[in-house]
Amino acid sequence: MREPGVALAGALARDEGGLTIVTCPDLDLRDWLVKEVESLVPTGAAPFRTTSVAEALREPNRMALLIPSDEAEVVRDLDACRDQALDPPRTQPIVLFLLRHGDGHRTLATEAPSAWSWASGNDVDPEELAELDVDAERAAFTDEAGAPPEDWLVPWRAGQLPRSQENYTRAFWAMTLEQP
Amino acid sequence: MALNWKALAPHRPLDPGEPGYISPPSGYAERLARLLATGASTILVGGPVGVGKSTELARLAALLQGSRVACLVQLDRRENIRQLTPDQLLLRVAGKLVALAIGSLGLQVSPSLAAPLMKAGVLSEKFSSGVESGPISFTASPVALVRAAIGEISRRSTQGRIALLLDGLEKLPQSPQSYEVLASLGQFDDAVDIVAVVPWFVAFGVAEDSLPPGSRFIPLPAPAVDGPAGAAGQQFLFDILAGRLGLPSESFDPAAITGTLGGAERAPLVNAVTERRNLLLAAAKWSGGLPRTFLQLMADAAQYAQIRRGDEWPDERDLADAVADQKDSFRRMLLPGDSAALQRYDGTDGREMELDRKIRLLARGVLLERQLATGYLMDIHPLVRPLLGDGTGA
Repeated sequence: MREPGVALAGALARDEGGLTIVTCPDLDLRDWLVKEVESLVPTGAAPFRTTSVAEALREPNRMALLIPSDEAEVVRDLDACRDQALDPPRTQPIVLFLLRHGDGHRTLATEAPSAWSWASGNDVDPEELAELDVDAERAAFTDEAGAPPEDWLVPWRAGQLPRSQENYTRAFWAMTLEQP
Repeated sequence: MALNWKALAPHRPLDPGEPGYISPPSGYAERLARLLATGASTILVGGPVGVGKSTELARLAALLQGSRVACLVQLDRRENIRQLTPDQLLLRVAGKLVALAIGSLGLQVSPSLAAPLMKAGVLSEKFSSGVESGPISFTASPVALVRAAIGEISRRSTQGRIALLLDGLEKLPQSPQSYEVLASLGQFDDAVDIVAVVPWFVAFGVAEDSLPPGSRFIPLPAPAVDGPAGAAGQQFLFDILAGRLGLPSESFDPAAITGTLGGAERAPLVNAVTERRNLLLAAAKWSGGLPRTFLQLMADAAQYAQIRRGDEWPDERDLADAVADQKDSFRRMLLPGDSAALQRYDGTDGREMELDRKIRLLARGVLLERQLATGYLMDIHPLVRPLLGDGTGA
């Protein structure tokens, strides 16, 4: 069973300078997911938001959060410019946010084999993965972390827990399971 | 020493002369070098994404260095390929050829050749030291400039003959402008060898009229990794992994554990290496023989191991989840009608398959061409096979 937080953290960390695709169910949740990713990445990644592939490529040492205004065009550009990420070599990934069943995914399937291959195995749909037995997962979280998700998040949000990769992953998982 | 899994970098091909090259079982680059030596002058390279086309082209550049001025032009590192024009292609080639002549071969070039290339932005000012002094006023079309560069450099070099190795053209979309770009391959002098990575649609006669006469399309196959014929392909993938991790190639071979260890000390080591080898065998089979997919699976599994347990080496569950991630990617890529078509043409030579679908599925490695003694067979990628229903689905 792939936990959404682990899958997302793994995708962000797998390829230094790679391409990660985060699939979003709708535009409102896209904004939320962008913020979630921003809150999850180590400060050294210096994430920044952009709508342009050229801008993303110009900053090889920062994590580019690529939020397209035209998904199909951005995917085509990524396909055609992919190897520009090799010279100079990127040290941080490009994170592309695409709507589920949107133009970006359709273009990946029909026109952009290079971009698809670059991101293969690194395209996560956190909400789809999170369609699970919430009660069981909350119990497992509590057992593992020693506190329910809401309680664990209090010291995390107060900056009282170390910003380790394990805790970033746990924070995402807690936020996924958090109840009002 | 901790393993650096980031060094796998599945998306990064090797550059010419870079250590760590592993020859595939097909000996592809050596085969192309032999073809050029025996008179082939235009070779078109194809293959699924992630099969190693760029690495093989870089290897070919290293193999040809003694007999030719081997100029590798990685077009996709400088240009947006879908907007590439024939003139841009010609100027990039001319610029790279002059840069190679000055930077690597230590040749001087005429200022009348270098100046317009610098002005066009395809030759860096840092090569000014290799430019002779003298009159520089010269204006010419891109095709005239590239021919001038070929003529001057072939005359000044000790090798004499030039081989242009063009990488990145496989990203050309199927469009009239792309056909013009492909047609520009015929603009080079006859005394030049051309090896170009091209899109899959070229393999099926689309754009045939645009290509230089006598061009040969030679696909780079994914090695077999299953069954009795798969041992060489498995070892090829293991060696790539070991090389990128900085491990000796025998690291995954339990039989290589010898020396003075007693039975009690040796047994746990043998068990540990056997477990790792079994995991790699599973990853190799899931990869279908595609090096990039194999490295992605191992890098992904290693991330799961690191995040979940802080472990350096993944276990079966980690690999299973990496496989699930890859299957998701393939699933999102399948279009309506693909499942039925894949099942219908699996194990055939694919000649009856709708051309657009075949090109799309071959380009992504969803369908792999396997070469047998009797011809080619279409083989569904192992990550896709479990996604197919009864043929009436996706």
